[in-house]
Amino acid sequence: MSNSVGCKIALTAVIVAVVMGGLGFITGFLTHTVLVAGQPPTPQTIVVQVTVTPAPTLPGLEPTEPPELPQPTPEPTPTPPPTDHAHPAFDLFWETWDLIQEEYYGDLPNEEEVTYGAIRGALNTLGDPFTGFIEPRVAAINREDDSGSFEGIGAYVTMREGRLVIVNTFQDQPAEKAGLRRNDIVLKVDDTPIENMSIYEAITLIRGPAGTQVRLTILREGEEPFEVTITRARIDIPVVESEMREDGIAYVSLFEFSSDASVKLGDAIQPLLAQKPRGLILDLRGNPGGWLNEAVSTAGLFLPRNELVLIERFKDGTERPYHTDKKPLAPDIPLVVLVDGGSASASEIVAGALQDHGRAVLIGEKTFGKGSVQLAHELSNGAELRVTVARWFTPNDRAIHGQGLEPDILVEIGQEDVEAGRDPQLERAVEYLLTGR
Amino acid sequence: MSKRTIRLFLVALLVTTAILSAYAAGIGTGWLLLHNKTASAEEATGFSLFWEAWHLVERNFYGDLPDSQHLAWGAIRGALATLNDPHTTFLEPQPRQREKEDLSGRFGGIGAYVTQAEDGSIVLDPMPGQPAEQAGIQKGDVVLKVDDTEITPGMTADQVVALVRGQVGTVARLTLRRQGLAEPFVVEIVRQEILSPSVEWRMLEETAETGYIRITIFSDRTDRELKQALGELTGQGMTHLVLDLRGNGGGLLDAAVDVASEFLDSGPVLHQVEKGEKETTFTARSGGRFTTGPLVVLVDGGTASASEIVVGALQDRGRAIIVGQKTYGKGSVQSVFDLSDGSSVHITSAQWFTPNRRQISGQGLTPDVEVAISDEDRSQGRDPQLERAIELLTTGQ
Repeated sequence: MSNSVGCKIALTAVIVAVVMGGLGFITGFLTHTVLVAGQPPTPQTIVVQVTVTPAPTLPGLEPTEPPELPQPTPEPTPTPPPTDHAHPAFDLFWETWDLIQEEYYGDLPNEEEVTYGAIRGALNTLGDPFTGFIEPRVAAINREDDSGSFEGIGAYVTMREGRLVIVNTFQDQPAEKAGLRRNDIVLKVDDTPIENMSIYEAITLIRGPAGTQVRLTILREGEEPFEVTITRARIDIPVVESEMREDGIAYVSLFEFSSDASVKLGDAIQPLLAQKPRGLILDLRGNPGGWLNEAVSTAGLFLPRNELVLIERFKDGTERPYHTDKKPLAPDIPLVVLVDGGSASASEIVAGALQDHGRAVLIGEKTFGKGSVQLAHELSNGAELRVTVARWFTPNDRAIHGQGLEPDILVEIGQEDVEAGRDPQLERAVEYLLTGR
Repeated sequence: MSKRTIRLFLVALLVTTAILSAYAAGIGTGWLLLHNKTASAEEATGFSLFWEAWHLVERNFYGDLPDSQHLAWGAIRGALATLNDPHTTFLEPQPRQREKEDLSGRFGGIGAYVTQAEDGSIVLDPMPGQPAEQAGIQKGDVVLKVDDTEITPGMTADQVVALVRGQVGTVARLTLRRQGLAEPFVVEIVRQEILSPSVEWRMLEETAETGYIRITIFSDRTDRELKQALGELTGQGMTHLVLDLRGNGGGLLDAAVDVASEFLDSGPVLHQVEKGEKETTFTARSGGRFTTGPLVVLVDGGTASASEIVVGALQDRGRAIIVGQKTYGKGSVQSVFDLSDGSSVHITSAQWFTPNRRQISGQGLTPDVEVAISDEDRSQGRDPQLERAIELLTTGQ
C-alpha cells in the first residue's frame, strides 16, 4: 500500500514539477521580454539648445612626436575570442546605439565606421596618446609606403586632448614656408576631420610623396579656422652638426635618432677628438627620439662595454635590460649633455644612462618624459592597433615616463635670450667644462 | 515519529525541491534563450573587432584600465563622433543632472552663488532670503569641505555646485573659512527648492513707456515668468518693448513656442521635419499679452536654437525689428533620452524651419539692423545695440 501511495505521490510530483518548470520558463521569458520591452525610453524633453563653446585655450608647449616607433618587433599574439560578455555595463552602448538608429535625423555611418569610432572612444579612456588605432585604409598606406615616411611637410606634431598640435616646424621646410606655427591645431587634412584620430593616422594622412599637395584646416588661437595648402617635399633633416670651438671645447648636436644616428655621431666625434678638446658637449635639446637601438649605441659611444643603458619593464613585471656592446669611442673625455623639454624618448634614454653612470653632467631644463614602448598588432580586418606595453627605466631604476629627467644644473632660456641670440645653456656647459664647476 | 511519517516528510521535501528546481530551471532557460538571441545579434554586426582590439589592450596595456562603465561611455562617445553632428552628444549622470535643473528652472540647493576666486578658492555669495543666508553664510566665505568631500585646488565651481546641490530636505554640511576667524567652522543647511529665474525685466530709464525683458534660457518656468513680466510692465504703462535674446543658447522647444505666442496672435511659429520627412507645424496660441505694440529684439552670435525659433518667427511674420549681430545658426532639434545608468544622450531628431521655410542650420538669422558691439564698448559699459533699439522705438527709425 505504501508503495502505491509512494508511486502516486511521485507521479504527481513529476507532473507538478513539469508544470512548474513550464510556468518558470514562461515567467523567465516574460520577465526578460518585459524588461526589454520596458526599456525603450520615451524622450523626456525635446531640447533645442546649444552651448557656444569659447575658443579653445592652448595648453603649454609639450613637444614630442615619435618619428618612428621605438624598436620592439611585434610579437604575434594569438587572436582572442571575438566577443565579450565580461563587461555587463557595456549594454549601455547598445541601448544608446539602438536609440540612434531609431531617432537620429540624418545619415547613419556604416557599421565599420561606428565600430572604429567606438574603438577610438574606448582607447581615449586610457589617457595615453600613444595607444592608438589605425584603420585598414591608413594602415595599408603605412605598410606599403616606406619612402613616404621621409616625405611630408616638415613639422613635429603631438596629440593634445584629442587634437593634433604642431610642436615645431623645421627651418626652410614646407610647413614653415606655408606659415604654420608652434601650437597651431590641425582640424582637417584635405577634407577628413582628424579629431579623435590616433596620432599615427593623422601623421599618415599628412605625409605623402614629394610634390603632391595637402590641404590643412588650421585653428590658431584668436582666429577663425583657415585653410593652408602645402606642397610636400622630401624632408632632409641634418642628423648631426659638429664644431670645434675656439675655446677648445668640442660641440656635437644630434637632431634625431634616425636609423644611422650613432654612426653619424661617431663619424662627427672622431675628428674632433683628434684635436684633443678639453671637453665635449652633446646637444640633445629638441631631439624627439627615434630608434631604441640607436639610443643604446649612442650611449655606447661614451660608456664601457656591457654597461646597463636602460630597463624595459612590461605590464606583468617582466624586464628586458639593454647593455652597451661595443668598445667606446669616447670613454674618458669630460662630457656635458644639453637637454630641454623637447628632449624626449631616445634622448632621455641616453641622457638618463649617462647621468646615472656619472659619465656626463646634464645641463638645461627638465626633459619631456616620454618613456613608453608601443607594440603594433595587426587586427583581423587589416587595421592596426598600437598599444603601450612597456615603460623605460634608467639604470638606477628611475622612471622616465611622465617624469622626465631633472638636469644636474638647471639653466633656463628666456624669450629675451632667443631674441638676443644668446644661449645661456651652452654658455653654462662651456663654463662647466673649462672650470670643472 | 513513525517510519511512515518520516518517509512522507522526505517525499514531500523531495517533491518541493524538485518543483522549485524545475521552476528555477525554467526561468533560467527562458531568460537565457532570449539573452543569447540578443548576444548573437550583436556579434552579427561586425562589432567583434571592438572586442578583438580591447582584449589586446586588456592583456598588454601598461597602465590602468577603465572600469566597464567608463569603457562603455568612451565607446559611446567615439561612436557618436562618427555621426559628425556636434549636437548629438553623450552626457554623464552629473552634467545631465545639471542640465535637468537648468531646464526645469528649479533645484535642491542652499541658495548661494558659487564662484571661483582669483586665487582658485571656491567662495560663496548667499542670495537674499534663501537658506544659505538664513544659516549665517556671508559673502566671501571660502568652502573647504562639502559633507565629507574636501575641496582640492584643481576643482571647478561647477564641481562644487554639484556637491552642494542635492535632494530637497537633505542636509548639506559645509566646512567654511571666513576672513578674520582663526578656525574653520561647520554649517549645516537643509536644502530647499531654489528657483533660478530665466527672465528679468524692468522699465528703461532712458525713455518713458519702454520696457526691457531679457530671457537667458528657455526653461519650464520661462512662460510663467514672461507672463508675469509682461503683466507688471504693462501695469507700469509699457507700450514699447525691447526683448533681449543675446547670449541665449536655447532650451525647450515648447518654451520657445510659448514665448513666441506672447507676441504673435496665432499663425505658424516653426515647421519641424522629422525622420521620414514627417512635417509638423507649431502654431502660436491665441491670447498673447503683447501682440501689437512696437517690439525690437536684440540678438548676437550667442543667440541660438530655441532663441532663433522665436527670432525667426517674429522676423518672418513682420512682428519685430531684429537688431544686433547675426545669430548662431542652429536649426536642429534634439531629443534627450535618459539611459539606464543615469547618463543620457541628446539625439538630433529633427530640423526646423521658420514660418517662411528659411533654413537656419549653418546660416543663422541676419538682423534687420546690424549693430556690432566692441570690446571697448563692453569695458566702458556701453551697449550700442540697446541704444539703437531704443532709438528705433522712440523715433521709428
